Amino acid sequence: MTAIGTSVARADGPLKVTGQVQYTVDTQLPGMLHAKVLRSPYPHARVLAVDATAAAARPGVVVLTAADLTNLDHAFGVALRDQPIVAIDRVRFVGDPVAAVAADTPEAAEAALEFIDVEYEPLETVMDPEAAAADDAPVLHPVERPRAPMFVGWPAERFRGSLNVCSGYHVEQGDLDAGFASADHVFEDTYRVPPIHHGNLEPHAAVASWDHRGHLNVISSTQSPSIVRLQLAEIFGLTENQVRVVVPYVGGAYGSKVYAKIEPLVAAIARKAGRPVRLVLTREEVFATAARHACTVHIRTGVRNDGTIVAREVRAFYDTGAYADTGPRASKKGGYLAGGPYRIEHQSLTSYCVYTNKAPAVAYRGFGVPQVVWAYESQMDDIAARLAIDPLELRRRNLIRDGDTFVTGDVLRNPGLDEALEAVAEAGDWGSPVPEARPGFAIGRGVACAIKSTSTPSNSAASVRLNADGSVHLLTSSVEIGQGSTTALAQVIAETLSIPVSRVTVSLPDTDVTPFDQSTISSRTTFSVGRAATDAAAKIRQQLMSLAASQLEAAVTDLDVDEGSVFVRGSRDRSLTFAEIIRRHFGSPAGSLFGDSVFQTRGGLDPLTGKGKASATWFYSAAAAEVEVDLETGKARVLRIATSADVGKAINPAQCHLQNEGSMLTALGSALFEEVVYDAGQPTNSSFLDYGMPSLEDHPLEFHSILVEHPSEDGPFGARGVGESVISPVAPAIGNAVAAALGGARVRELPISPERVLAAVDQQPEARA
Amino acid sequence: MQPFELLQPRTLEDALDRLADDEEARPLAGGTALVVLMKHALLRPERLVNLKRIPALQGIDWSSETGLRIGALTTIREVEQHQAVRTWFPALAEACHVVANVRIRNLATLGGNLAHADYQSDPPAMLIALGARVRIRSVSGEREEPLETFLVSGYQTTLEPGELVTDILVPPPTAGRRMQYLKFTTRSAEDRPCVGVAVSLGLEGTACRDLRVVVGAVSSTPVRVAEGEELATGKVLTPDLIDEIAGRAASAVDPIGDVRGSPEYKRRLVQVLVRRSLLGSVTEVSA
Repeated sequence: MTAIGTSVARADGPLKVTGQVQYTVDTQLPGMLHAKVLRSPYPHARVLAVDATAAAARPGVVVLTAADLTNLDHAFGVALRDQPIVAIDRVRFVGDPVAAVAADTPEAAEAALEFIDVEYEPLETVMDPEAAAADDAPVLHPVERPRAPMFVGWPAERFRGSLNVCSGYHVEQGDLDAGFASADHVFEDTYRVPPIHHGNLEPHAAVASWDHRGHLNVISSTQSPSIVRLQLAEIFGLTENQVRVVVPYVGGAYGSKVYAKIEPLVAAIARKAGRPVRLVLTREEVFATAARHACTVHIRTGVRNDGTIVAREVRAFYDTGAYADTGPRASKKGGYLAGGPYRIEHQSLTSYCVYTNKAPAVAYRGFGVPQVVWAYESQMDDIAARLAIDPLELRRRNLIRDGDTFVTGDVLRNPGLDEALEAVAEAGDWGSPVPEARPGFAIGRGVACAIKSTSTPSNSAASVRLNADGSVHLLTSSVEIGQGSTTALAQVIAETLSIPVSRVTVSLPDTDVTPFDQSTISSRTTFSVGRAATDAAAKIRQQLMSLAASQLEAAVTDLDVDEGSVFVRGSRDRSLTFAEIIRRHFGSPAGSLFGDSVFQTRGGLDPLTGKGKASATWFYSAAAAEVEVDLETGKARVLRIATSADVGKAINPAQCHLQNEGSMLTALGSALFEEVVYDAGQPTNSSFLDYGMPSLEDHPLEFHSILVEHPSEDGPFGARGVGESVISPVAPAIGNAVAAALGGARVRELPISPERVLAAVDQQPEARA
Repeated sequence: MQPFELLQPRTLEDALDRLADDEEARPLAGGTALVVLMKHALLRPERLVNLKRIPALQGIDWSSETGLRIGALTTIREVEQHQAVRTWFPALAEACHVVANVRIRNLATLGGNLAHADYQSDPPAMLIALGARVRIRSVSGEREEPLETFLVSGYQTTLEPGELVTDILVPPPTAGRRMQYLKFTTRSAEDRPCVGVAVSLGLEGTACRDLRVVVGAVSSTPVRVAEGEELATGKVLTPDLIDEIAGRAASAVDPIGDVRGSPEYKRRLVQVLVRRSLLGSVTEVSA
């Protein structure tokens, strides 16, 4: 069989492009009400009073306020339980839910919102994460919030400053002072990244209902059915088997739908209404629900004349907005990866997760890593320029290699990083002369590379069923968010059982039926769920072999499997199809065989030392960009980009290339123009009219995606994962190309807007030549 | 969005009657602006008068004597693709082509675009450079007005309640007239303009007979660079003269700072883009 490494067409493709797929937003239940949310107009205020009497008096209207939260454990959050379902006594960002209304129509619900009176007392706001960390900053959460059971706690006290620092991470190795003392050059810079928007096409949506047993049923566009079930059970005092989370196809997520978001609110108002309730966010509300962490990165690096990096100190301030959400985890990840994929003897890496009065920052493709890659890969080219070493060569001299021990203590096995870097350099014609620019323009090239880890420890269960007709079913709580997981998972099962891919169907999550999966996050689905599915399918294969052994009167060791049949090696005519084996076994063409498996990764980092085993597998990637800069307007246009990722093994090469292309275009937007803008605490561009995202017309004229295959130890068929690999190196590759075009003038704050480019040119007039 | 009643008149007279009956009723053309405003509750009309089923508001006519008549309900896409527009007003076709994306252009109408008077838009500056006028009807009669004075401020026109733009009229171009529309975006290629520059240049031999330079998307209405236009009259547009006109353009605008650029940056861009437009127009002549 050759199911692996084949670009099998995705099963859900035709259904999606012809509009036949049902998403959560399409869900209709009998008697269903529609919810709307009243949101704070203030970035920070005390809520003195909420009077919903007039709204509740309207016919058919149900109102949810803080007063309804008294008999439940209302605060949620996957790291710190700091986010109330609706505001209790304080609002912390523009858009913070204050009350919700359910009514027969969305219009009636919206109309009723106007009959809720809220009395606010505005408080001082803080919008910058570094300012918020200072001990004199206005505090958002005066009472420290309890840690969620799932989160390995990081003692925030070590990292304060103010109570706004809700988590921190630190790791070090060597002797930083000695390292800097041994350096010939020291580079010290600050890099900044603004909040950006995920742009998931399907907004957050959820439908909740309570049945006669008092069990909670939720249909949601979440990426985390198993964890949302857990969180809802905690909030409402239920056991996990009293909560059912069903996830249809999801119309894009990119991290914005990881863990509970709107589900607790919808479940709470459905409980009060005694009827099913649906909430579908507007685009503006999606902006108020999720963003990528803004970040300020201070980076100091000591280098010898020969280009050897000897010391690095990083302090990164992650802006998690009003609530922690995944901030403590994303900032931890960014923290230990802030030194980059380099051998550096002396390191001190620290990250701070800080509350500000912005919308909550949550998981976003790359999970805290692109922020620090932007810093260390940009600075890398400043180092190269100062030492007059080619930027590619400088990286070569410092790259981690097979068997190296990472700053966390992880030993890196078989990294495909050097190959990824060389591949983009070659595809980008690195080393050959840059094309001559038109008058008034300049062209430059840049490269960058990155390393990313996956959420560890984590676990995924898979349940495979072989039906009597030889068809196969995978039960999994993995979410098809558009990434093609249902296709890739069918491929690993088809390969294991030596059957056509078309004979395998993959379930969508239904936690009453499908087994636990940590979440569809962290580029882990092919690696973890794929491995569990492979192991589960292998158990069925074993059962088939032993059944066939007695049916064929042959030793198991003489049997092999191919094309959906078990046969005696050396005599293909002695063979039985899977269907025949089952028919003989049950004495009837009815019944099924099943195989269950759990794949578990072990590890984690010690909260005090920051060391341990950070990741079960590692993702390596690189990008090379060629950019034309208009010297009079400052506008940068990406002419070409090459990207590469070490995917371990490409289960479905076409899907891997599409992941890379999607990552590239997303990263291009973040590099050149995306930013959620706040003015005095008010978001000013929370709509697609005013928030620019890349369109196909922004796609570079030339794009290469290169797949490097250095097999991982534990992934199915050596696969690592690919969803987030290319997101990180693209922005610094573009930034480095812009700086190269401008003779070294560098923009250190994203986005690299035309206005900032022009300012960089102005500050370095010699660059104009 | 608040519920509303949708009226669907088949004739212009019927539509005008409906609008006269209810001053709060809003006309609905392509809906690309109005529906967004309603979704954001910036407008909350209880009644909409759909104009899309009125044949009199549709269509494009061209004659070399009277010029171009574009029915107000003509989509931006139809203007962009119309043969007479492409032949006689290639820069107008360009100014329509660069609006948003093809999905928007297939819905948005030229009349709606002008009546909405959003400053961050491409067609108005080009139409002013071409000397366009708008024809306006109400139950009490008809009037015509230059687009330049029709646009009063951001989202403000001279339209009175009950009045509708019915046609956009563009005079025929003089022989050999050069025209350019240059859109500059600071973000996505499909973004609204940060700056748009429209130029219309009439020549006598190599000298400028008349010039119109209009800067769009920078101030609350498109800005005519009158001082620069006068400088050019009767002269050959040398690079030095073009620089001077570009400088006048930068002084003439009062840029609005927004997410697409600061006022200082926009002023600087105006100078660059006006110079490029004029150089482009001149190069085109000598080519």
